[in-house]
Parts: sequence; structure tokens; C-alpha cells
Amino acid sequence: MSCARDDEIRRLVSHLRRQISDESILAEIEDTLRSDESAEFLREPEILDYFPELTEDLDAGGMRWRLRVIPHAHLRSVQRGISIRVVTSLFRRFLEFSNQQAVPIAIGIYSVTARPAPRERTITIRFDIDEVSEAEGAAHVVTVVFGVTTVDADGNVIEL
Amino acid sequence: MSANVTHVVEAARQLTPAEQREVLARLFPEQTAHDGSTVWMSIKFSEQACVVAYAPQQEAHLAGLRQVLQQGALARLENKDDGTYELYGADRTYYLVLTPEREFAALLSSWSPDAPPREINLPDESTS
Repeated sequence: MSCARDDEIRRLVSHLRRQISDESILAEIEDTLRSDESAEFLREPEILDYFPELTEDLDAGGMRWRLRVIPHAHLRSVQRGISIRVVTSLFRRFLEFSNQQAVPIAIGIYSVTARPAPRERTITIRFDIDEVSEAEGAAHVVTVVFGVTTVDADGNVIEL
Repeated sequence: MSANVTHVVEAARQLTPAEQREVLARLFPEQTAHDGSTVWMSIKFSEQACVVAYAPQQEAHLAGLRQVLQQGALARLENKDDGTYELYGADRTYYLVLTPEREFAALLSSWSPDAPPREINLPDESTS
């Protein structure tokens, strides 16, 4: 069992306050977030009701793309203070990088690591490319984390 | 070293880290080990396990995931706080959120072993 960090709880509660009008429900969720079961609570489906799927349309690499951020990825982005604008920007950079390198984008799974800006923390986004044609594509983000997805012997994410 | 083994070792060196994990997980399916920066463990759930899909595209793979969880398989821990793992079934790898103590699994993504995630490190914008 483990706890969410104070800054993560503040961001989550701030988001939930905009979604939940019933103060008693909000207080109950906040108590759980501050308990030693918060990590497990954030993995389960009930909390995702307050993190709806988001959709962004963008043009990049000469194509029209639809990027969806599933509720789980929405929750993790709010928890970590990584805005959807940053997630979309990294996806756009991936498309433009692939276009510059003349590497075709195929249906499948991608894990893309980058800094949103020089000297900022590295972010990894994992997404699935669902559809791709000559002119259009569709993808969905499944999660977003700081650092790269490498862990130490205790399972803690290592930021490289 | 025989020519066949040398050929296999040389072939393995050409694989990406994700492809190497796909091979390793199937060579040692029941092993629990710490290998440098990778945490491997065996996962086995009962029939009472709660298994859900967090992406609609993955609903078609829930039955396969449930079967793998009940048979037991090797998993690689990706993030302890998030509870994200890669679980290596015989013919499919599952990327999922797990809470083993509660026998809870939420499927985020999955792929066939010959098409693991492509890992891309983008250069900083000022240098790209």
C-alpha cells in the first residue's frame, strides 16, 4: 500500500472539485486519496468517472489526426500536472519527427520519450495508433509518466 | 559455442530492448527475478479476479487476458506507484494496471510478441 504525494492530491482534488458538486462525496474521495490505499484507489474504475475521455484533432506531418486521451491517461496527466496541451504537443512532435525521418507510422504501440521544453523534466507517453491512411490517422494515449519506463530493484521509476 | 547458438546470440544483439523482453519472458515463463533495472515476477489470479478494459479496443482481448492470469505468467513491473506491468502470455503481451493483492487487472494495451512497442526518444526541440 502506498500514498499519493501531497502535490498530486492537491491537483486531483482541484480537478475533482470542478466535477463533483456534492461536498460529502468529494470529502470521501479526498480522505481515500490521503490514505495508504490511494495508489490502489487510483488504479480502479470508479474514479475514472470524473476523468472523461478527451479528444484533440490536429494537423501534423501532412496528415489529419484524431488523438484521444482515455480516462486512465487523463487521470495520470492531472495527477502529475502534465497538461493535455503538453501531451498533444509531444504527439505532434512525434508525428513531425517521423515525417522528417521518413519513417512511416504504422498501426501498433508506441512509447515516446521527450522533454516538453529544454531543461524541463522528461515525459514518456504511451499510445496506440489505431488507424492510419495516407491522409488521416487516429490514436489514443494510454498513459503518461515523468521519466522513462525503467524501474530500480524496488520498482520505483528511474528518471533518466 | 556451436554455430547455431552463436547465430542466436548474434540475432539477439540486433533486437530492441522491447523485443529482447518479449524473448526473455517466454524463455523463463515462471521465473521471478531482479535483472538489473528490470523487476520480473510471476502473477497468478483466481477465477474471482476482476478484469476490465480501460481502452475500448482492448475489450476483445479480455477473455485471453483472464485465461493468462488464471494460468499464471511472467510480468515485468513498469511503475510501482501506477501498478503498470507488461504481462507475457504465450501469444500476446498485455500492458495493464494490476493490484495483485485485490486480484484486479485493467487492460490498457496489448500486442503480439513480434510487434512490441516501438520506443522513440525525441531530441530536444532546440536540436531537432
